[in-house]
Amino acid sequence: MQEKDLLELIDQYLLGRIRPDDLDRLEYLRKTNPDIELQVRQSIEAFNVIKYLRYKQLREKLRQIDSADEKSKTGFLRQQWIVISILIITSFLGFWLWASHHFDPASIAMRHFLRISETGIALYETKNESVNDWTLATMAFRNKNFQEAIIHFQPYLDDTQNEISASAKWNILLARFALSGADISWQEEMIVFQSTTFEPYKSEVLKLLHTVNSPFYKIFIFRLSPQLSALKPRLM
Amino acid sequence: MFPVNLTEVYTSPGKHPVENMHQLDHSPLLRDEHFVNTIRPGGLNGEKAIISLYTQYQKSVRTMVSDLIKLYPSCRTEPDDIVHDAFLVMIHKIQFESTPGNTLKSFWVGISRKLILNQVRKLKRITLVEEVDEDYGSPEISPESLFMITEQNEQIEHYISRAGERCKQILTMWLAQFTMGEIAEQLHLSGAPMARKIKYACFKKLKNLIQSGHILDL
Repeated sequence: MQEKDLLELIDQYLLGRIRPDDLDRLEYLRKTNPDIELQVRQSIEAFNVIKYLRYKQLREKLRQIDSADEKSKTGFLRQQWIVISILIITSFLGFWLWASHHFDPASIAMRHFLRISETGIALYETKNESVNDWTLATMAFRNKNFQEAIIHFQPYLDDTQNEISASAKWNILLARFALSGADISWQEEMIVFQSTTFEPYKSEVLKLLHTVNSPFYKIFIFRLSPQLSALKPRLM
Repeated sequence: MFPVNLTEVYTSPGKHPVENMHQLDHSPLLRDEHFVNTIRPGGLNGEKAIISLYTQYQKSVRTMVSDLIKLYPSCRTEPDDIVHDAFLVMIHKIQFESTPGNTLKSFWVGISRKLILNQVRKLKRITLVEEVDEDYGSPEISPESLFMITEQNEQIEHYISRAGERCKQILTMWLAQFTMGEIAEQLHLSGAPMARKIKYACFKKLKNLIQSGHILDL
């Protein structure tokens, strides 16, 4: 057998690809020829060293995959945290903006005004007198010209009809609230008005006082607003 | 000639008809067969399949091995090491020995379990009465006998370092069953005959280094 053929046979044997008849031939050669037996033994030894090297390299590759996996996992967690933080900040800002608008005295006044003023207009339109001043007052209120609205509603306080005077009083109180918030004198007047007036103003007064005394109103109006008003010029 | 639509029906090397290639993603046995059939002949595709196989199952196997290790407090090996060792044994078995009868994941976990039990047995010096469950891989695995010649590590490192980088590459590629053509292509050699020539020279060099090492030992 030629040297080249023998080497090829040993290669096939080492790689586990040897055909059964070739394996028999090699086994026979190993038994009969000590040189070939030595050569095969030496080849097996060298092959084991290569195996060691190969599995060492493979193990290194597996570790690299693990660490890359770990890194991508950390990266994903970091991304998640960033997204969650952004969501929390955005929702907080959104809630804060909504609450500042919702608890703004002008907004509260507008909400309460719209419900009652329609009744007022309906009441007044039944009379033969001019409704021009009342309409002007209503328009001024709707345009948030609260000072002007107070001036226009003032004459109706002495109206003989209780409904008209009550509506005018209510609107004036709302306009004052929109202008200067819930100060003590306003609150006193509201309590007096509530004790003397009738429905639906009575319940509306209670609702408004409840809103004004709520902790949210106090947080957003009394605590944050002054701080923000101090910040505003700086931001501008 | 009739036009053939290869995506319609594919018959796997194990003669299982695969009507849709996406079946490979959902059927573990078909996927495992595909892995085995790609890893066994080795070469570049085999290497890719090895990495793909590892990535595919490593998370679930690691979880299972971690749970197994908890059952044996005396086993001090890290789950990662057990997972890696078992994977290497599995690859060795696929490439050079028998085909696993069950899924590759259970084969991998079975080998891991065997490695843990071996270590526990060594550490506690006890004889386990209970036989290893046949479902989890063959019980006669001894990774040390396969490739972890731990006692001679330093000596082997010495041989390898003296063999040279190019020889290391060629010999490991040859062991990974790359064809001579693939080796030539990967290492930018002139062709398969040149790769074969270099491989024989390197193998001879390594054998000589080992022999001279033995002589020095004596």
